Amino acid sequence: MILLMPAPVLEVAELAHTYPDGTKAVQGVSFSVEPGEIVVIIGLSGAGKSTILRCINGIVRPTKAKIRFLDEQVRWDYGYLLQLRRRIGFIFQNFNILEKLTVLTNVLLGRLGVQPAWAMPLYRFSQRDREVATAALAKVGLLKEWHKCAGELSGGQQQRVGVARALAQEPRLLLADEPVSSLDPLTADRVLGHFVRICREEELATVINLHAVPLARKYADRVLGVRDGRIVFEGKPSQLELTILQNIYGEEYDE
Amino acid sequence: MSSLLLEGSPKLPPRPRSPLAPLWASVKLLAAAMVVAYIVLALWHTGFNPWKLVEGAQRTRGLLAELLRPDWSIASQLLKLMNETVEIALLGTLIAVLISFPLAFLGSKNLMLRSAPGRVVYFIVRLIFNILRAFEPVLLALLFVIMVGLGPFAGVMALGIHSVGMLGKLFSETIEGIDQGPVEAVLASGGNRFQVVWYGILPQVAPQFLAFSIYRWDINIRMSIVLGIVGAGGIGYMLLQYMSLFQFGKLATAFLIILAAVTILDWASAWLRTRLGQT
Repeated sequence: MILLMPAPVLEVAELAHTYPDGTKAVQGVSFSVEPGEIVVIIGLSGAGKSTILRCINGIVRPTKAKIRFLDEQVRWDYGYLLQLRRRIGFIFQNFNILEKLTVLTNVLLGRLGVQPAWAMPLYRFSQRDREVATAALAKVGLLKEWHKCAGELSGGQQQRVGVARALAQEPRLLLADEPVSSLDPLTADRVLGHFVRICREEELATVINLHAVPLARKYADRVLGVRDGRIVFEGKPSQLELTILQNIYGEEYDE
Repeated sequence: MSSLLLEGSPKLPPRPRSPLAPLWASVKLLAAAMVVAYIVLALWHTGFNPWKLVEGAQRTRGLLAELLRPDWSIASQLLKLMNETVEIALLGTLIAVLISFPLAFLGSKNLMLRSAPGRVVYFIVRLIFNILRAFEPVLLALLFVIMVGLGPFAGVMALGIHSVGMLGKLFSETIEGIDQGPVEAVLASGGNRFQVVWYGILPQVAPQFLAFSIYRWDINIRMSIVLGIVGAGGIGYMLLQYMSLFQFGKLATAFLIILAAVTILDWASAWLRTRLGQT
């Protein structure tokens, strides 16, 4: 039966990060993510959720960690990090799109990892890259807007551009850092729902940081509760009772 | 709302004072006195005397009247020279843009201060910008006239070198003001260092870079007129010539052409720059 268990896409063990000023942002964090699984990390702002995600794709270099991605040991040399990030899509709280570029070009940025060197200065991409980007735009429902300046779109649409850019990488793992917290509650639910549906269709391993508990309940397969840089809860969303939430968010937590 | 003053009036607590306060007060007074003294000295040294304006105008009434009768026979020759002045400014600016564009990235804090070699490069590039800015274009023009002879090429080089310092500083500061978000996004999708600059930074700074370059061209056109006076090409040289030959009618024509050209180009550059700001 063990053979039937899918191999995890990501295994994080003993992740720790201390900032130069001595702040221990993350300590002893271990978890794994399987293909098609949606793991949601909840916790207060500043609990270390962002740092965990940024350590996984090497934007932040962890002080100590053993990370395995697709059964490879993650190293932190420049060449390996480029290879690693190519296969990990990242979605940001502030979208981080380039407002002056078109929607299509923004999505094509997901193909930078495979862009040929000669095409780099000219903003050119291969035919296949353009097809992949188009497919990603179709997935998020922005095909008609492809030629618009990304800055002209609404907040919800801008985040869908961010999602399309990550999907265009044809990633094996998606990391989303508070993807909907700068949107209004209704749009947030719609954008996140759409995002999660795509992840399930593509059987993508996905880690989402959220601070809103209702969204975590609605969309997570598994929830990690983080407090002061440590995992203090791991379980099904249905297990999120008041005492557990008070342990994650502090005694004042009240539904 | 009832008056705040009902319950006894509060007093401001005394302002905290350092023991050196009286000393500082006398230093300030001394500094103020020195500034006033220097202004008086400057008035004396420069022979500042508004009465001379009136006196001079009466004495040279005939000559000044010639300024109101421009001599249009030389207009086409002067227009050619005005065009040369604009071309000198254009090439000078272009050279400066080409040199300062790559240097600006090496001279911006946010890209360079992260590593020790980066810091060294940053300080060298910023030093170069500061030194180039310190050379006045007129001094540079004199230098290049000696090196390459009288003529427009000396003007191009003088404006080019001086503008590298100005544009480099402005470009670098623009890069320092970018949003780091898109940079992180390009990094996160596996972009290398060059792609970070080309896709994460360039789209954010390009409109400003263009606006600064156009503005610099605008400034360089005016500077180029002055450079002509020291022999670095363009219409400026004629100003000096007409002055020394007392050909005030021709001088008047040159004045009018310069005035018209500078006004039109100023307006065009402002219009272009606002267009860039909007898109």
